[in-house]
Amino acid sequence: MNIRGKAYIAGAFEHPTRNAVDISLGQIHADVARGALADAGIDKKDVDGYFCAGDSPGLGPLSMAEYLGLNPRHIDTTDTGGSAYLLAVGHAARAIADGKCNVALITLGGRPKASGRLSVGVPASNAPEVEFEVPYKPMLAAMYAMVARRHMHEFGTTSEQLAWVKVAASHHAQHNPHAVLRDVVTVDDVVSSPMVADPLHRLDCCVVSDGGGALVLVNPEIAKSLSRPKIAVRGAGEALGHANGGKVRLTSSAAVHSGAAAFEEAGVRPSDIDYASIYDSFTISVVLALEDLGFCEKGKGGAFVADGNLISGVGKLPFNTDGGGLCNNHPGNRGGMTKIIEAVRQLRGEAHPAVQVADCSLALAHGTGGTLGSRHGCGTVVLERE
Amino acid sequence: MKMTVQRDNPETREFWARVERDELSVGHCNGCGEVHYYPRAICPFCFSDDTALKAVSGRGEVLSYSIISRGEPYVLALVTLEEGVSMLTNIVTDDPGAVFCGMKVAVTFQDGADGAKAPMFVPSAN
Repeated sequence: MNIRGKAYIAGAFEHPTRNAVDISLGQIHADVARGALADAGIDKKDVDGYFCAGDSPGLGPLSMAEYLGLNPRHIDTTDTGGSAYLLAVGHAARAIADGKCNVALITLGGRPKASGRLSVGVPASNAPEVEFEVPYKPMLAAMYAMVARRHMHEFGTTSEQLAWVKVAASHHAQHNPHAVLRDVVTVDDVVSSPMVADPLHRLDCCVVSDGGGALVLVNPEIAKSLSRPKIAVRGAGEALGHANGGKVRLTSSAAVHSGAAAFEEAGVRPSDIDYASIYDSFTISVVLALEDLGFCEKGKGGAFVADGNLISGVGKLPFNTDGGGLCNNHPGNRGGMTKIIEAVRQLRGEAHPAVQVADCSLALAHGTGGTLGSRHGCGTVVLERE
Repeated sequence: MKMTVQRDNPETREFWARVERDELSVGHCNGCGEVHYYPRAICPFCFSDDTALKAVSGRGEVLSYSIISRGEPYVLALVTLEEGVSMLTNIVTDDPGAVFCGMKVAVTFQDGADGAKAPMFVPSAN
């Protein structure tokens, strides 16, 4: 079933906190749920679909549904790490198109800073791969670094080209009062920052921050009754990638499939996109995603992002105009939600004036969750202002 | 990173027993003829349960790597074995800066982060 014209994002809210010392995890979910419903102008009692992922405390949706006082008739807790919220938008749109629910709420919350649990990617002890990985100290940044290294080897990509992703994000973040990092940085700043996992430097890595976000999706009748701009979910795709029994591919991701599915359903091409939110866990994540989504040829991502091509008002493809995960926010080590929220801001014309894309009518949001070059899940959505 | 891994998994006990004897194996499927890594009881390609461990040469080349310098430096790597499968591992070397994609390596057996013996690799001449 094609979802075009059958579901709309009516509400979006990003929690302003970046350090939730005085806020509980449940409270973050409640704060963002309330914020997104208020943004949409919808009462909580009308929520009949609830979507959450692995950041949600308790068993699946049970604890949060009880805590929030929700009684949904449709639930979905698909978890692919930080990209889960991209998948949730697609799932919610399909559930609405299918009549399974009329008002879908998606929430994310996390407080890795306040809780002191900064590390990500600690594997479940009963996962079958664990005994073949843990002996080698596979820190997350090093897994992404191996993708970057191989990309450099195959295509001649340079650290300076990767650095441009961070430079662009910092140009946008300077206008975001909530951003963790607001200083504009240069390519030299990035490549001279301390090495975390060669060839990735500290400034190639996203921030660690607390916070969260929520979205409300509704059916066309409800969307028409609301006063907010109508943001249609025009297409959505999802896919996963893994080591494939040892036949490892490092320089392409599941975005090849999630992107193609989303573009096909939307009936548009990459060249039609006015603004793109790309999950930027690391600078290499963006380069690989842009290639796999078709914004440039495979191997040309480094050249594509260089020289400010991702800076709003400067380059051809304005991206992550909130500052992204590299500068603004990476709530709960999961960057997918904030990607969708900034895309909604752009389509509504509510991004910061300094970074607002003129006449932004078609946007893409994309996430890579889990571990690039290893087990990962990608979600892509194409959104349109009607 | 301090983690202990329980190696009492009935599916992989024989793999680790061989590692204790300095032998590296991959999974081999008699149904489709493919090798796979990490080894499984059911082939991830054809779902046959006619699988067995297959001893391998332990020679391969570096698919990619990263040098982690926080604390005692170490090299995380993916090594592609001659038999065609890639495995996550460490490159054991006094000169991490000399590691490169395509570098020839050979297996060695050393204690991993969990304190038990694991297959790792050293640079090799051939």
